[in-house]
Amino acid sequence: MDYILHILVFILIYSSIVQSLNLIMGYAGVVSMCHAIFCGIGAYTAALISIHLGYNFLIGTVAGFILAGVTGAILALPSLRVRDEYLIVFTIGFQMVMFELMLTARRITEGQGGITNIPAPALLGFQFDNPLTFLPLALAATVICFFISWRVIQSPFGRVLKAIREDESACRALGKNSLRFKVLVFALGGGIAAMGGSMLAYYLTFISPASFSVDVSIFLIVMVVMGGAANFAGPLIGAAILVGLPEALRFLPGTANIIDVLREFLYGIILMLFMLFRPQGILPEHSRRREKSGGGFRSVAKEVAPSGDSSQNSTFENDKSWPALEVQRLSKSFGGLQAVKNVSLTLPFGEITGLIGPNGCGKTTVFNLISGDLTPNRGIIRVRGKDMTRRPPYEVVKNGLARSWQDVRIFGGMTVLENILSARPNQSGERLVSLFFHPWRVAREESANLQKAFEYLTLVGIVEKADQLAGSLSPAEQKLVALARLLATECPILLLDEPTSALDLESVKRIIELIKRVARERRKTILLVEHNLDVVRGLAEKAYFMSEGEILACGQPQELMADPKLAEVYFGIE
Amino acid sequence: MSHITLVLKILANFMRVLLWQLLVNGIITGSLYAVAGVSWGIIYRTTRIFHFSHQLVFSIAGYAAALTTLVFPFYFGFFAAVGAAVVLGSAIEIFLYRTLRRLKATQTTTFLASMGFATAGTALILLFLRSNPRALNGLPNIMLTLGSTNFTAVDIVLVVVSWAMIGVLLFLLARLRYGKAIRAVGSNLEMAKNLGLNPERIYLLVFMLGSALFGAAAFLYTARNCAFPTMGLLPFFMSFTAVFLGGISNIAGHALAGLLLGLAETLGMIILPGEYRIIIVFLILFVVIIIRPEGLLSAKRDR
Repeated sequence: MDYILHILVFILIYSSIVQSLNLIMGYAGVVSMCHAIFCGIGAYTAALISIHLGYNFLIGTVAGFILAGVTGAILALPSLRVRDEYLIVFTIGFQMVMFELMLTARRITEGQGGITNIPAPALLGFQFDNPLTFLPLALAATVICFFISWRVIQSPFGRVLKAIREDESACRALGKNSLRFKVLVFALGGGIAAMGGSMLAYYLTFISPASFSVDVSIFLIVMVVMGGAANFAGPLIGAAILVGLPEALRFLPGTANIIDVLREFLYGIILMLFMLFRPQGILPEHSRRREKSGGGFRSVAKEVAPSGDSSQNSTFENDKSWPALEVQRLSKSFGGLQAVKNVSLTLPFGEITGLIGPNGCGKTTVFNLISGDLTPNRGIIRVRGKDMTRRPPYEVVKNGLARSWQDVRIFGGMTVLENILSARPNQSGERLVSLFFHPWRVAREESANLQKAFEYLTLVGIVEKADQLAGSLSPAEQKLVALARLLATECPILLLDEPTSALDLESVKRIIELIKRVARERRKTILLVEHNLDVVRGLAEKAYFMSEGEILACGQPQELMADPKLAEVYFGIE
Repeated sequence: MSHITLVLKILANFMRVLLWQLLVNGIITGSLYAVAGVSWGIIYRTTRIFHFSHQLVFSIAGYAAALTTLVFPFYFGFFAAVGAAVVLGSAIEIFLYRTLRRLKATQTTTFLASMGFATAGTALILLFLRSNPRALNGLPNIMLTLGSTNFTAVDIVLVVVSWAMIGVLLFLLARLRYGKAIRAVGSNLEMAKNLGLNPERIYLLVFMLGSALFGAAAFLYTARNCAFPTMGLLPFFMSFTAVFLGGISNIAGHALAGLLLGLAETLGMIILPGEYRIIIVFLILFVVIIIRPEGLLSAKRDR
């Protein structure tokens, strides 16, 4: 009986550790190779505090949580500058370094032998010193870990994590400082893992470096992957199977040593086979049942009456004393290639302006410079009178300028509704503190945002697809989602990069009408890059003509197109 | 007074001797890391696969060398190590990575699958050959002294062979038709396809080259130390650290960064006890990536 209870305690503790890794790997989509170290930090902190200071186990657990959280945050900081592969490198390195430290800093960790005689936890005179009494404690700790994770996953914060996983630069272009979210999820994940680690220390009353080696980090990854990444119940399944399996192996004949090796072998094979044949794990993130049904949202959709004039814009006031966007002598070169030369543009408020020119003339580069995705070599960018040169994309969005992408870049692995919701500005649910201490405010905002999201979906006409995965929609529908997502940012200035490219005639017409309507009813200022000259003619009052990185002319689209010289440049007619 | 100067003189002399010895040791380990960096770098740069199983290639090659020398003369171990590495490396590419590409696996999925394979493979070594280390058999033990520093003939061979291999590889990449094809596939896959290059063949070639280099390194490593199941972990760690430190696209940079890592690791022993040397390596990587994310020896480029 005690043996079964013992295994249950283990499954509970491991499932909370795995859940914390699921936050980082499954939701934010970043591989952490040093999760065992976070557990180790929790375990050693708890053990040392209990032994040397004699404090209550709660204090040891909290101290471990904080220490591991700070460590996780520091570790995630370099992702400010570099891509995600570097985080793999850092976390493997950190794992090896800390493991080495556990072995060699004998004065603190007592080296290979580990720390023994950790006092069993006690609360109000009650001792948790055998599997039966420890089970409720482990259960409580697991429930707390799962509650924190659940709250984060279900919130706007969790939505941004998934958006980062799907497309980080698109997420930044919606006004999210993705670094902040990555640092926070590493801190939170590390902290929760440390809680699990301290539970392990208190339960076993003994810890050694072997419990926190690189193999254990891999083992935790296998549990996440097997249970199902980004599935809330996945960690329970993963931990139950992979903690239970080696226990079953114990009944096979053979020495304990061989069984340990066999277990390693099985973990490796399981990981490889799952990656080959079922990368989504046993419980996938999106169950098929939900994709098919879709009834749930329709009722909500009906309640939202599409309000005609919701042009009241609380977040941004149109200060007409400045042009909406002013670009002066912007230049950018890649190596020896000068992609943009001395480009100057002015967008007056409430007007649609076109940017046309032959392929590869630098139109998209101009967009990337204005939106902050690239930094210019020279020049000034002012958005609503404010200098936005060399500012990161999320700050540009916060100042009222958002952009769309030629290759739509919607978050394919999220529902259409989530796509729109993630674009909403100023969500207090994106702050962990508000999430746990102002739940009512978060809920109130969320329902308001939900209403707004349905309003935009109704506007573009895809409200019936709200609960489908955005990646499963047709190209035309995806363009509409991207447009609705862009509008949901509430930015008064929009940069549209080829909104009608690769679409059939019917959809092109529909999108032109939409853009016209949006500009008129919601008083948006729009800069439009478009290949289809008819689209530009139909929408823009003014257009800039670009060639080889320079602005050649500016005027009414009809005039520009009638100019034989420009036509020669555009069509390459000799 | 004269006592103090005498003590200082002895101390200074001791430090000089120590410094030279550490420098020599640093060059020896650095050469090994340089080969490791180049071998992993050419694979990563061309295929963008985070080839975790590279460490298993190293271990298998080391064991192949050690086991071969039980029967044959020691230099047969070199060919056994390179052969085993090439066979295993190409098998991983053909059976694992190609399948994953066909299934449209993401980079992370491929990385995790590779990690699973390496974990399972290392467990198999443990299962069949146990954890006791195996040295190369029949290796002549020649000690050499230069000035105040000591090293073995194996060390000299290690340094010379390592840099010769790196030089040959760089030459092949720069001059040969296939070398140019490798660089083309690595820098612009679409363009390379349009030029009629078959990326699958180039990938296989790159895995063979990288594995052969790492296999040779494994032989040299085994000759200096011995073979044991997790022997590949540290050289593998140094290999990708060197690649990210040197800058991904710059093969010569991987070699120089590897040498730098070896020197930092050994010279670091002056300030920290030997057990902590990996910490120095990690700190260098951490600081360099924050200050110069494109790598130490790479030309600064825009994203």
